[in-house]
Amino acid sequence: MSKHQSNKTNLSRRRFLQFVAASSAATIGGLSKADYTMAAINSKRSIPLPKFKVSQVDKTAAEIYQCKPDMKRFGSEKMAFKVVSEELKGSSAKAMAANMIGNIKEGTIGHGWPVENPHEARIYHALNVAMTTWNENIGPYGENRENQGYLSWLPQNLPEKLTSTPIPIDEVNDLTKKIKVIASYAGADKVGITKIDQRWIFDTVCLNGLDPGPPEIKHIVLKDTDQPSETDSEFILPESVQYAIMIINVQPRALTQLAPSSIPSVASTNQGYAQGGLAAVALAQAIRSLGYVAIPCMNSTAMSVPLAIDAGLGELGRLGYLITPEWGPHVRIDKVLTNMPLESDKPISFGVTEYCEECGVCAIECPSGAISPDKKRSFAPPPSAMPCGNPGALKWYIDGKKCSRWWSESGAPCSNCMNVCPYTHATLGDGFEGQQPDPKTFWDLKTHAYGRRHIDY
Amino acid sequence: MTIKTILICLVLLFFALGGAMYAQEEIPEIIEFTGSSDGGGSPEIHPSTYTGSVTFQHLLHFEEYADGCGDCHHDSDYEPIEDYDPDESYNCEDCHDEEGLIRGAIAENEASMDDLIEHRANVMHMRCIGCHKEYNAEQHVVIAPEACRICHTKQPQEWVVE
Repeated sequence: MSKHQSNKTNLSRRRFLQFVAASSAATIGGLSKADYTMAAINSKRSIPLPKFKVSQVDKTAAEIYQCKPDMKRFGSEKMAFKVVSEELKGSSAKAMAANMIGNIKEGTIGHGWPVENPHEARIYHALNVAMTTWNENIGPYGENRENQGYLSWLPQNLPEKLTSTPIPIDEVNDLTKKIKVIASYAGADKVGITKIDQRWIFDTVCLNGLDPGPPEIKHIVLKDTDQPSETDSEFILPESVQYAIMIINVQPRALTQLAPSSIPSVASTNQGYAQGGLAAVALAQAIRSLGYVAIPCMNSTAMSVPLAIDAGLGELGRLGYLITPEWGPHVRIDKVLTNMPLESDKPISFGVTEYCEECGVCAIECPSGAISPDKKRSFAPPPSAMPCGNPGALKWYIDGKKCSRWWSESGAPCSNCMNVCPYTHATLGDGFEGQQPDPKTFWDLKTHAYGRRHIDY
Repeated sequence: MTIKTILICLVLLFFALGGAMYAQEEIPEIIEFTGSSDGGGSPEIHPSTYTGSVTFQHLLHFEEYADGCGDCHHDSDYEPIEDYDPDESYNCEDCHDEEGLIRGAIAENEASMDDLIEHRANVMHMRCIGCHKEYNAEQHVVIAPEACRICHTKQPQEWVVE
């Protein structure tokens, strides 16, 4: 549309939704939202649930995914949230919030998820506020929040006598076991440890990662120094920081069954980040009290998925998430980087790549076409995904821009791929216990802390 | 005002309304794009559930959003055609004559721009989504739909996990 035309027509949100409703009446047909979620039950083609045996492998993530020697460290200014903000000439997060508020006012909890009235939608929003409170307080999602607040790189309110006196280590095995137990008590559902492959450390931090303006960046560098620090141009990691303690936390299942793009499905995401963020911060403090450097990270500082693969927590799925044997992709990953000498776990294999080649359900069902439909993997993202993709690894590349723009369009992060993944079905089953997933039934489900169906998940 | 003046006004109004109605009849209100009946799948590419038909609100776009026919209909020099006539002007398929959609990282990386614009489905996506993106950038929010699921029919599910 030309500028002239856009001046002529002031297209309101409601006007456009009317248009969308008209143009997609035939599109959506008679299917209700619940039908989408349950449509698999009425389908024709059977995909066997994944059955697998987990084995350890003597390869790193970089070897498993055949990373090319010239693959570059990823810069945070290329994250989709930043690039889409530049394209929209406004914050992608604010754009999403505007549509979320619009949805609530119209009495829906997402794109095409009607509830009884706007008040009911507000109650779902309140649920999301509860789920995201600690995520927001710690540093929402962690991206570009390095060394800020709870994610500070230095000890917080601990006696210097402790933080400056490293505990002697006789048995690395024994210490590793105890650190994992502490992480578990701090809230981690599972922990893995790896030596850090430096190519997974972000090249840059983007200080204005949700703004449309030119990127303001600081490089992340490794230097021979005792403590991590920050200057006007750099985040400095001590070279001695060679270990990553990877933490995974399960998200509440029933909420993602109200995907795609609903307030409940983002509440599930936020719960995962909140719990994992708390665990990472608490674990970092524990390690600092033993006299070692510890850097708590959510999505910040280094790429979580390849480090989690190196730490033996799972494999990379078509949908771009880590797939774990215990909970499929239905998890969030947080981490603590440290110079405490620890014993690494070995990567695992349980046939994810082979299964994803045949399955493709996440790509088939992705509302925005952001997941590669190719049966085979490639070494380069589609041109439309650039500059958000990082070429050089053999995998299914996600089009982060399509994914992020759909979140803005629909008013909420999506989670549909996580919801429909057969590994989720195989591990976590049905959060609605056989009932039709819908926003009304949700409130009658039995629940434990953090939305867990059972005390042990 | 005399009766004669009133009659002249009524006659003029009749012709004006009649002319407008005639003009509207010339412009199709809705165009159905059939989409891909097989979900766009191939031996190398998984299908999508969002490649079914698109009910395009042609007249609405003409009246509310476009400057004229030329916003979409162009000539061989990519210049806008102001008064598009399907009998006289180019049809999309005259130039964009390849069926099917080039999609997926592998296909897209192997395709040139010439390949893309030969494929009608690619061109239609570029035109619709490109225009919507431009509009959304002016509004700083994604209001004009971009995602597959908003415009395309969702095909019946073809999978079940069991």
